[in-house]
Amino acid sequence: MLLRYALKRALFSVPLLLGITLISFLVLHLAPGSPVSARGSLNPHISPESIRELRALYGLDKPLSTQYWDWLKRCAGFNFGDSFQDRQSVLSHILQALPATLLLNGVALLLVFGLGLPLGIFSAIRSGSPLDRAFTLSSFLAFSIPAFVLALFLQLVFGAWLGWFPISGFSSPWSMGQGWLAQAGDVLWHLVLPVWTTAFGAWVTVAQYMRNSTLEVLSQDYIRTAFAKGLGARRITLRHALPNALLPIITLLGLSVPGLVGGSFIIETIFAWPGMGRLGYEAAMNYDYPLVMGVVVMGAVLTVFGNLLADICYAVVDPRVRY
Amino acid sequence: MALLEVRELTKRFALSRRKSWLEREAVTAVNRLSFDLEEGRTLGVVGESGCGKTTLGKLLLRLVEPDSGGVRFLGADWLALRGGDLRSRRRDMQMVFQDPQASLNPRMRVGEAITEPLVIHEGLGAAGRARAAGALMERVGLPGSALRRYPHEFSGGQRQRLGIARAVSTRPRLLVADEPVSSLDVSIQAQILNLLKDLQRQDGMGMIFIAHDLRVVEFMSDQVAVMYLGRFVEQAPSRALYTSPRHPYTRALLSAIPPAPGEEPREAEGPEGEPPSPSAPPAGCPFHPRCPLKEPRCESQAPEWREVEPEHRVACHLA
Repeated sequence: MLLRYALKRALFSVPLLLGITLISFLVLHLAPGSPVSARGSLNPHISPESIRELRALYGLDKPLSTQYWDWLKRCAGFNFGDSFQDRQSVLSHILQALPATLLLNGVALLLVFGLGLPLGIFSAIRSGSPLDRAFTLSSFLAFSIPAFVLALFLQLVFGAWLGWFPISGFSSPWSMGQGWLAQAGDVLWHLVLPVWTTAFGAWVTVAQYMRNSTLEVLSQDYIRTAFAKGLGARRITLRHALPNALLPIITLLGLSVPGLVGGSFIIETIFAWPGMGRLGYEAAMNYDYPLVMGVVVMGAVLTVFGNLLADICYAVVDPRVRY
Repeated sequence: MALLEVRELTKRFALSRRKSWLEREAVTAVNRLSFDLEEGRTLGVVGESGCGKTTLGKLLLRLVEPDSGGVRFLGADWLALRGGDLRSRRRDMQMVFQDPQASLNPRMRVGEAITEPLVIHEGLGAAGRARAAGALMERVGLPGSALRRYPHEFSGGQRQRLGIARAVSTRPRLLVADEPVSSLDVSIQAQILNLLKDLQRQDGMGMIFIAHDLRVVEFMSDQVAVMYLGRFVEQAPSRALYTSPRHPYTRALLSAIPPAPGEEPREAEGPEGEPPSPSAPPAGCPFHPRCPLKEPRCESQAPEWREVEPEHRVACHLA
């Protein structure tokens, strides 16, 4: 029953994915500039023949529809083509960049939910208290700081002035050839500022979301019923309020799946973090069409997958959901 | 000794609107109410919406704390109970709520929901719990096979049966039923009312039955109290109240009951106009702006709550 539901939902997402790739493909190719101009415009002596040869080399001389169709056919065989820049396969580029992003966002996600959920619950239970108000106010302030501002601020204060953490990069040159413990410690040390930047806005969001969800549940009639039964506040919170208040959090978790793997263009670029975000950014700057499309498809698939996962989780934990 | 003695019970709610910079407007939802209830008897409380009848129920259950007044329940000071003492004594006073759907935790299997009071009050284990759940389901006329289902799988009437099962699970001495049938179809209402009556007779529970439907209250109650703007305006044995009402408000309410099949059709009147805002109650008798029999003194002098016949009390200058 559940399996059939999952399969049906997965099937419905195929046209969605096709649409995403088609639009991305068109936007990418219609945007001003091309791989040829990126390579040729700096050379004043380039001849029209060379340009034509370059276009043929990249297959850009064919009609757009043919190019898309070719790309789609290759994708069906899990071949996303080769990068224009170094002729390495797109897949190998992605696999190289993936671990760094997974590490950064995995740690950030743990922090976001590990800190955000308890804070939100606490804030809701003590709603109206000075602590709750202070939290609500400060979370609006925190939420309105853009990631790139925060990133530069952290780099300046903790990197440049105090010198506590490295400003950018994944590891230090000196750690090469050291024991694995020293290497791991070095990576963790590099992780602090990017994780901070990634988690900062999100954990406030999660906490506010959890706070509102808990408040909503606490006002429900069955909570009043639970009090009238003679239950203590702890049992009411743990047995009646939380299981219901956590339901909407599933959506948030589902939505964070693509971010977990897709990485952030801005944060990874600022911190020179060798992950998916920076890969995508550099690919876009170089008009590396196959690589950009690879990153886009990856992001699209994960977004759809995250939503699917959230819906299936709902069906599993909420007895009211029909499928 | 009465099961429940309520004296001068009062509850004000502050509104966010302010009268002045320093003072908030307040609504007196329950205004110096006093009454007694004997073991095994039912007091029906009727009134228009907003008259404070639900607040009265919540005050008795201590879901809301009163501002002043006293309640003795089972011979002890009910309002003095605190924390764990209060929680463990809640088993003696249980409630049935208006919305059975919203009153059940949607993620709890009904077998768990109706026996949860027994787990906390009697420390029942899994086996005892299953047995108790089966017995409770049978008491309220539901199949024992449905124990592992969730609330949304039941109809409205069945859900109210679940609410009742939960309420009687601890064998309470007093049941507070707040509009227990008003969200149900008329065809289901009678079944639920009969169920409540049967359970009351079996366990000898007292009952406070809050409703706005006069016919339903008449069917359920030994005594009926009519509530208006946070006060009782008339209280009498059921028969006396329905056959010889003394207060003009009671008469107006009774005249609004649609005639039953076979009864003489008549003009349905009901009280004129809307009840005044409870945050700015009229001076004198609270009912005077709508009263057809109004006299000058009604506008300035609040009527006394007095006994006009044995067990029949009225707050009206003219009764």
